[in-house]
Amino acid sequence: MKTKFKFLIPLFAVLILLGCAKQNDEVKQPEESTAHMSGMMVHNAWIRQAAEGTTTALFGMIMNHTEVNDTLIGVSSDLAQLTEFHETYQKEDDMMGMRHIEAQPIDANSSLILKPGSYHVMLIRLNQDLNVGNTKEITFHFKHAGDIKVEAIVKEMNEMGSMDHSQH
Amino acid sequence: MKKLNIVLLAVILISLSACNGLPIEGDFGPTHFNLIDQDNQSQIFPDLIKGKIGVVGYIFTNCPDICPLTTNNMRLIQEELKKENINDDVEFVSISFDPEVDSPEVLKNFAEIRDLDLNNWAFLTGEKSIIDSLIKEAGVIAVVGDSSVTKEGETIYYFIHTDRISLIDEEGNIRKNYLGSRINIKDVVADIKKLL
Repeated sequence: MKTKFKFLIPLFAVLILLGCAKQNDEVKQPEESTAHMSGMMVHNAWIRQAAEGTTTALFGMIMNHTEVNDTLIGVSSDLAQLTEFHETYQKEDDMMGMRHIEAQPIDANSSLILKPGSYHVMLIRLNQDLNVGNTKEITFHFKHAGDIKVEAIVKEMNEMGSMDHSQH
Repeated sequence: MKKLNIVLLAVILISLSACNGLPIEGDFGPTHFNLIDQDNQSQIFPDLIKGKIGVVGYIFTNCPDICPLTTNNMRLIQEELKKENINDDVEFVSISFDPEVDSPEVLKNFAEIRDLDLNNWAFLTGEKSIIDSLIKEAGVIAVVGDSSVTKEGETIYYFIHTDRISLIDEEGNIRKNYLGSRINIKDVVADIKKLL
């Protein structure tokens, strides 16, 4: 009996190993796929409605789902004569200002919220009216992740985000 | 004795104005400011408000963030007032402190793209010296800060400015100032009701 089924032991071992290998592949594939798709992302991008010739802003959330510290080095679009990354800041109690940011670090596994009263993309001297419901393309340029094209929807502003400028 | 009477009268008036929790915080001085609205019509500020309650915001249209929020908050106040059937008792005014850029046409486009109800809302611009005097009386500061240069060589300036909406009574007195971009709509509507 013992010798009769002895050959089954290596067979089971091989099957178990194959099973494990298969299982690892199944786990790994989605991981690789997710990493590829979501390495650097811009979520929920929206632009505040504005008239041709004026200036408006784009908001959303930049998510760096990689293990690499990255840097946003620019933004471009055909919508306006100039596209820049800016930050609104509070100078004193009731004084507000805005400054151009040349390069914004986005740390590994972190995100940066672009919201009213905080970080935003400036679309300066619009080439066209941006009406509510329009969808427009804008490209974010990262030092490591490269160029990421984003579809942004035009919305009106109904409520103020908090004035918190924190990076998450 | 005459001086004493004047002082007493002033004290009584100030006390009465403070009864509703909205003491007089200031006014626009004796000057009548000759300005132009979005339809190129002459307007005299604050005269266009008198007899009504005024909700006054201070903006520049190249502002992509704070000023649209302030404008939108004024729109939300207007919508609340319509629900309460008191919108006709209030006049909305948006004053540009960047008159060199904000022509009547620019202000009109700014309002139209937002589909604002201009039946009781004026967007005002005018000579820079007049605007500067006006905002000084209002206690609003607007100084040029950062700038951007377009491919065509045009420099666009951004202001560091007071984030403000002012509540004006029927006599043209400033009764309360709010942070324009972070205002609580219901609080403003409640304050307007106190002045009616």
